[in-house]
Amino acid sequence: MSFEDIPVDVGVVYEGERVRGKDMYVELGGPKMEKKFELALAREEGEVEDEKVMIIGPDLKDMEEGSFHPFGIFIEVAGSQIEPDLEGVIERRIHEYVNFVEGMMHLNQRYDIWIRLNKKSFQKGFDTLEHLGKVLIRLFKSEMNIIEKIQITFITDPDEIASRYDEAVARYNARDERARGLSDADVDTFYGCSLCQSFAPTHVCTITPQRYANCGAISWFDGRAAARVDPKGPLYSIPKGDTIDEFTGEYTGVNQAYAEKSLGKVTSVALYSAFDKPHTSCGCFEAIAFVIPEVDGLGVVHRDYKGETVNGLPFSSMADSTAGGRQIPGFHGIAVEYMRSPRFLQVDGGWDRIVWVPDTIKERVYDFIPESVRDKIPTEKDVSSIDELKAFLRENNHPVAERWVEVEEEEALPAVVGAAEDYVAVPGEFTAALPGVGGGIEIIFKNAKIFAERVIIKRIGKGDKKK
Amino acid sequence: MREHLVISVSGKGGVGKTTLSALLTRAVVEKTKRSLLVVDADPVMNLPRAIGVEVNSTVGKVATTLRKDIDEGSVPAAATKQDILEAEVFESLIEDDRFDFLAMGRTEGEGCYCYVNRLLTQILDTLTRNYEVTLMDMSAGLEHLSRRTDRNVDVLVVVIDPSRAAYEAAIRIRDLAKEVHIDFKQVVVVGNRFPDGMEEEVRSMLEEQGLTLLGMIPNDDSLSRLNYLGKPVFDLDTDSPAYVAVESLAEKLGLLDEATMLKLLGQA
Repeated sequence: MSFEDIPVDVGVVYEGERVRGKDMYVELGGPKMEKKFELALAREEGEVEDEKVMIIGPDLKDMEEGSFHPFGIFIEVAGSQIEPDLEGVIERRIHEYVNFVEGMMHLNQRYDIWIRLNKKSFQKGFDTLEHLGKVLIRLFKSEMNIIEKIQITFITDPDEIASRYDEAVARYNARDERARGLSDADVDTFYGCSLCQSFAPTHVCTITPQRYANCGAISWFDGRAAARVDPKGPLYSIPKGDTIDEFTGEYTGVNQAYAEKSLGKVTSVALYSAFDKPHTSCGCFEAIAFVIPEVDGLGVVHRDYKGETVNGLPFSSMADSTAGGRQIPGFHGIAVEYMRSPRFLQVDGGWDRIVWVPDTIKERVYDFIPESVRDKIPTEKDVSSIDELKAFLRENNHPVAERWVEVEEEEALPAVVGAAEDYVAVPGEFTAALPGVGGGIEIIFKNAKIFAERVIIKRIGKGDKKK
Repeated sequence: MREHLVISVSGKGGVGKTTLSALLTRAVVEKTKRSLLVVDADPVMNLPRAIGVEVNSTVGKVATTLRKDIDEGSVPAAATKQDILEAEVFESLIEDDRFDFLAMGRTEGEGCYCYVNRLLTQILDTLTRNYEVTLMDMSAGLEHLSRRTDRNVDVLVVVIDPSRAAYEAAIRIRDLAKEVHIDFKQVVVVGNRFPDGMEEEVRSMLEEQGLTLLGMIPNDDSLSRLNYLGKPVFDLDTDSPAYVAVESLAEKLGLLDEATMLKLLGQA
């Protein structure tokens, strides 16, 4: 690939180059312009004239030094393997490639693009968008073989931008819609994040299209972008491997990543359960799904919720039992965004198993709660104790209430613990301190299953302590 | 891109970090044509007034907004947050004719900032590479060291005033830097407002600790008056004792000429 006919250098070394205000020749797009966009579209063979560059509106040489202009970059590609699903990936490369040009800066994406050209490059002869078009076309064709034909239109005419703007926005929205609909089955790579391994050494965050990182900050798309830029960084790709169970979210690749990153402490994970082989929890999770044994359901509380939850415990107390990179059945760190996923705790019954959420969370995710159960889930405004919760769930025919009846009939046991066995077993690890032995001893149960018909806790007398 | 030098100014609270940062800014601006980025990493944000800029947005504010958008689910599903944040940080940059200025401010709200902070680190690293000189005015605490905010800093300047606490803070800063493996090319100490004639005593005391005294800034009534009135250091007379002293410090820090700078960077 040669750029000899381009008056400035082109190369990776210029990535990260910023054009300062006082060195700037022109600014295209950016915060001063209301409307700007970049858009890539997949077209049919016949619709694209290969390597054509069009400029609608004034070119760089027609612009005054230090001026600001609206801007649009419109890229049309064709090829036998080109599909609309790739538009986002192609469009994202514009950012990278424009930044390869010496003296050019490209920031942000979509309707927020911000481009600057510096005076030096302009004076060297980079005075037409033709040059930029040629650079982009060559880079696209050499780095993405699937692109057989490509044509680029630069728009600086405000009316033309205004007339195409709404269509661009509609395309972005449609793409986001598709992204929300993207399922784990659609991809062959997940992403892992070890940013909080300093807090929780055995924690591995698995980020899939349908499971956001626990912190709520990192989507599958963020993972993909980061792993591409810095594959050895804290965000890395996890090949999905074989699907062991699509419903529970068990994949050989995820298990392998866990085994490696947790140094063998965690080897098997079901992404969509809070009880059975659950995903580990760091210290940064946005919310906790916590078991309420008395009603055989799960409550969810988020970090910003200051009061006590329906079980009398605030977020902070439960966070201590949840955090640390362990697999703790019934105490499960999650992102609020995960509550918008169609696979949200689906193994445990999904929203049908959720029996309490803070009001603010309910508002935030309201549209994603299935209508059948939406009004059956109480918040702190409805109930403030387990007894009130029970009554509310029964009155409103919450799906968990049906489970109580089954249990009561089958086992004729009081509906305390024991409804579902899943949270009685405590695999993982916990430590206990023995009173009266002067300290220094730690007992660790690994993968223990403890069953007790009855647990009696008694206060012991002072004399006993000295033994 | 050309060589770049990153200098960070730290020390106990109230010893004159901001004053030194502001005076160094002025020295670079008036004595050189170098591109300069000034960063106020202290959330208290005294530096803007001292160098006469007005701050509307901070990196912390931008990060907090992003975190809030994440919570509300209003970030476009297929968009990458790194790009959004990068542009917003660049928008917070104040582009002055003489220098660019960035206020770090602080993030608010609980939420997890691991990822957002990681993005910020990368964004700021990229940004500083675009300037020949970056001057960072740090906060009084030591968190910036343990968070490794200074990990790309070439020269760490520790300011002390005539107090035992300031001296002890300098020792702690040196030790902590070692503990967290920040490999400064140089750690130097600047004495501020010491009584006349103490320089040699302070120098030998610091040398026993393996620290180098770069120089002293004398007490300067005209500077105190300016500070009190909230006027920028650019209003100070060129021959005021404090400014004259800082010019010589700037020289020793490699801020004013290429040869000293390259020597500092170990490339002479």
